[in-house]
Amino acid sequence: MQNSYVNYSKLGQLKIQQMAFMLVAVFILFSMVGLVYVSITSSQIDSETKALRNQEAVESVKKLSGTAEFAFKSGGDCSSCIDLDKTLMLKERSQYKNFWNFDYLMIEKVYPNETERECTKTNYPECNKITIIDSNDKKIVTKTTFVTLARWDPNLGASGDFRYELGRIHISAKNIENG
Amino acid sequence: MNWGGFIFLLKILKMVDKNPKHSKLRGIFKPQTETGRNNLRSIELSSSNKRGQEEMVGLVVIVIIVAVIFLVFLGINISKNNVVKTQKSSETSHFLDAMESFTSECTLNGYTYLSLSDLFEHCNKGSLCVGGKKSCEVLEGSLKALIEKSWNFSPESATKGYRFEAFFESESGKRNKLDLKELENGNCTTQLRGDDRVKPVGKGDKIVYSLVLC
Repeated sequence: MQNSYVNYSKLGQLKIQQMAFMLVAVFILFSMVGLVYVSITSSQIDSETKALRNQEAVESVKKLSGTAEFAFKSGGDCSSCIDLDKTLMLKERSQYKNFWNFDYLMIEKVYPNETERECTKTNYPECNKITIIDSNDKKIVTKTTFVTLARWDPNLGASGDFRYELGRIHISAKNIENG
Repeated sequence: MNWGGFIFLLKILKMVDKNPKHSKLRGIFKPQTETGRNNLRSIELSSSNKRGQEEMVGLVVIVIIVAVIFLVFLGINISKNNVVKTQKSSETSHFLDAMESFTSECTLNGYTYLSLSDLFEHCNKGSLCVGGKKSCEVLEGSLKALIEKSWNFSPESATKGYRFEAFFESESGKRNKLDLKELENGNCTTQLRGDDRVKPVGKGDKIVYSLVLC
């Protein structure tokens, strides 16, 4: 009688052990599945965050074209255009070197673009770049966006007209890089 | 009760013969004697090994079912992600804004040059520029040059190709493609990003154009 009681107890223990192992196995399985899911989701969130930061930085670059120093107000309905003639004059003024707290600020003409060189009063408009600020730091990372460049073209139309071209604005600053 | 336990119960029921004298488990439910009780214990102990195996099989079945459910879930998720979607891109959005005002080489009166935005409307009308060139041809040439000067398209670069499309959409919703050819480069199938613009023309009609990069 005593012997059989011990056997029954062992069987019960075995069953409890078996159940415990099964529960542990199922728990580990679900934990692993959960871990895989969480890691995939978090990597997607990471890339989305980067894209949003980049977009925010580009939007802040775009905003610059609407400021009084660059905005084209002479004619037409292009409030977000950059006045290229005004920008060339701005380049000559040393007061603007530290005005925006940028490390780099450059306006580039993308199309039409026949000659690749820095704009000066003598070669304008046969040039494609107006560099307003250049800290000569080669490690800078720039944010770029497309803008419309407007300038007076005396050869356009009967007695001259404003010509609109495609350009890019390049900016580098610590607050922009950090998004 | 798990799967193994269920199989074990079925086997026990099979072992009970209809004739109580021939049944292997006769008196199992109400063992009256000490011998009967001992017999029952011996049957239980001899079958405990089998029961353990069956419960293991049950566990494996559960794990397999969970794995299959997980795989189905994963498959559905992956197939959802594989649907080619064009993501809105601020880069193409700014490009479309900037190119709208671009001064084209087309003039209808000899002194006012049309912007690309106006040229879409004249292309839809089939207007001819001074000099006899079709407005659609000028539009196509300008767009191609603008896009291809703005990005460096090659299999190695971040931007592998593009597709530009323009439609005239009437008030009733009928769509006609504008006569613009060759505004495509590379094979754009994945990682599409782009944007579109709508230009109202006339009463309820509009021109919709879009640029997609890949």
